[in-house]
Amino acid sequence: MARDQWGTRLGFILAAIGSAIGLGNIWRFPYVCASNGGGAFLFPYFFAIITAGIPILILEFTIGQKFKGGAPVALGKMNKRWEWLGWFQAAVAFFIATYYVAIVAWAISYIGFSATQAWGADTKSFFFSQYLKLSEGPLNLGGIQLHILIPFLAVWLIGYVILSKGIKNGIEKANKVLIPTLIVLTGVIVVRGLTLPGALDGLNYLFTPNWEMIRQPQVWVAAYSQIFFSLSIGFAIMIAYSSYLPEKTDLVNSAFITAFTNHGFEIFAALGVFSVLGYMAGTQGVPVAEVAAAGPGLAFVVFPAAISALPAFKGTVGVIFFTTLVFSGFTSFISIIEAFTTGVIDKFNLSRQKALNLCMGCSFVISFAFVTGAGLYILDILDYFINNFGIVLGGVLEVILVGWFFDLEGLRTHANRYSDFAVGKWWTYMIKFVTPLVLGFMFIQNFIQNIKAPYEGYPLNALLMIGWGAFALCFVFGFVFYLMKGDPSVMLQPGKEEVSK
Amino acid sequence: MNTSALIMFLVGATMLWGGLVVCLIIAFKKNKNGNNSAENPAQEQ
Repeated sequence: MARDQWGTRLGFILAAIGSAIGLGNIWRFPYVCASNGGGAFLFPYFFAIITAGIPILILEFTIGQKFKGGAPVALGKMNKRWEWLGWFQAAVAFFIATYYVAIVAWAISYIGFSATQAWGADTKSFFFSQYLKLSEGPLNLGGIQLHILIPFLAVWLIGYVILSKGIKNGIEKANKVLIPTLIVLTGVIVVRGLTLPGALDGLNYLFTPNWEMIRQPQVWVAAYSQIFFSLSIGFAIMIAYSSYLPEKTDLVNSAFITAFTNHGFEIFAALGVFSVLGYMAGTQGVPVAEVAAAGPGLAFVVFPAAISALPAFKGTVGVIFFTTLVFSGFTSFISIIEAFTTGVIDKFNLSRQKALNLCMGCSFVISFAFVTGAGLYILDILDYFINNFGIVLGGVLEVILVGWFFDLEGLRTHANRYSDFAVGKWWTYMIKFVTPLVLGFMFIQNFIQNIKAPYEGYPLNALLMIGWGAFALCFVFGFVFYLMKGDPSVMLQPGKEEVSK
Repeated sequence: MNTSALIMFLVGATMLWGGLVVCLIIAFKKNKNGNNSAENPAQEQ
């Protein structure tokens, strides 16, 4: 079976950008920046892009392109035993897909609510009580919410249609439309935000530097976390996407362009978010710090209130804001599905359609948990554990194994072969020393923090079942799929020349 | 916008958007020249 391929370099870069630009760029970065030193945070942030974000992105592009496989097959070709890590990363992507779809579905509902500002005066109780119909706790499901089910099914269906069409005709075409549109729509929000009275108060809050803070280690950890989680690295996506690249292709500059566009977009979106928050704080007569928020709270509680407070174009701004959330979330969602589907296609030599039916079918069934009254609780716990343990562990093992037990110089030479410019030896040092240290520190710190106190005060049994349970299942999936017999024609035993050390 | 906030925004925007513009210029130039190889070790930093 001929392996699918990107039609153009632009198509690949846009898809990689589409994967990297997600909900976190809009609802996480502005808050992280403002609460970690404001403008001063940009220095550790830029430092983290150069020392960790771009080096890991180059590494993953190179692994995928060189070994022509998703994470399990590519890592398995480097060393048969490392296939397990590829499946672990694919399992992490699998769990993320199950809840990411729910957030995109909420944003679709809110596009409709925006037209009439259906959330009313109390946006908090509208979101939690009327829309989500939040149950009493994570283990009290509270039944399927039919009004969320419709947009939820729509996201699955559109995702299925796009992914069925393959890399060139599906993912590439979708991203060529969605990413430029997303940037234009975000531009509209930024212009509207900047023209509001009080916008500058929001921007002052966001960018005024607090130099004392960058001496604190946790600010540097926050910068590395933002870079790591924002770039879709460490959970099989970028390896899968780059596995569809042709032989003679640039890897190094594509990684730089992907990273700079992703992080440039973050700053751009932050202008819009904080200028609107500045206006809102002004209308309420409170400091910006009081209205600043992150995550679903920002998108579905604070922003609707800000939209209602606008002097004009409330419906238009609301529709545009939630459309940007849908587009940024959707392009990431299809990349997350592709991450583990590619692994299944490669190992079992299945047709794309069969692999999609299998992979999307399983994640579709599990994702129903997020359409229940306990959906937000389960999502919060799963997101926290999968991000802070699953992605970080997948990333740290990848850089340690490849950095220390593989011919990293060989990979650098491969990356440089057809690239617009060559990456120097500094890249090797970043992969071998800086990235394992930072990611290892993040993992240990998160681990100790969770041993000391349960996350967000959730009941221990819920954390064990959902959070730690999903993390443990990633290991189980990893081993089960590793032990399963693959198709002999695409057997994972590599040629001897491909094995190093 | 106060001066320090404005300066920090400009620094951040220059680092990220400036970095992107430089990379895009390199990509267009290489694409135009049809030269897509950095194999020459002399080019390495």
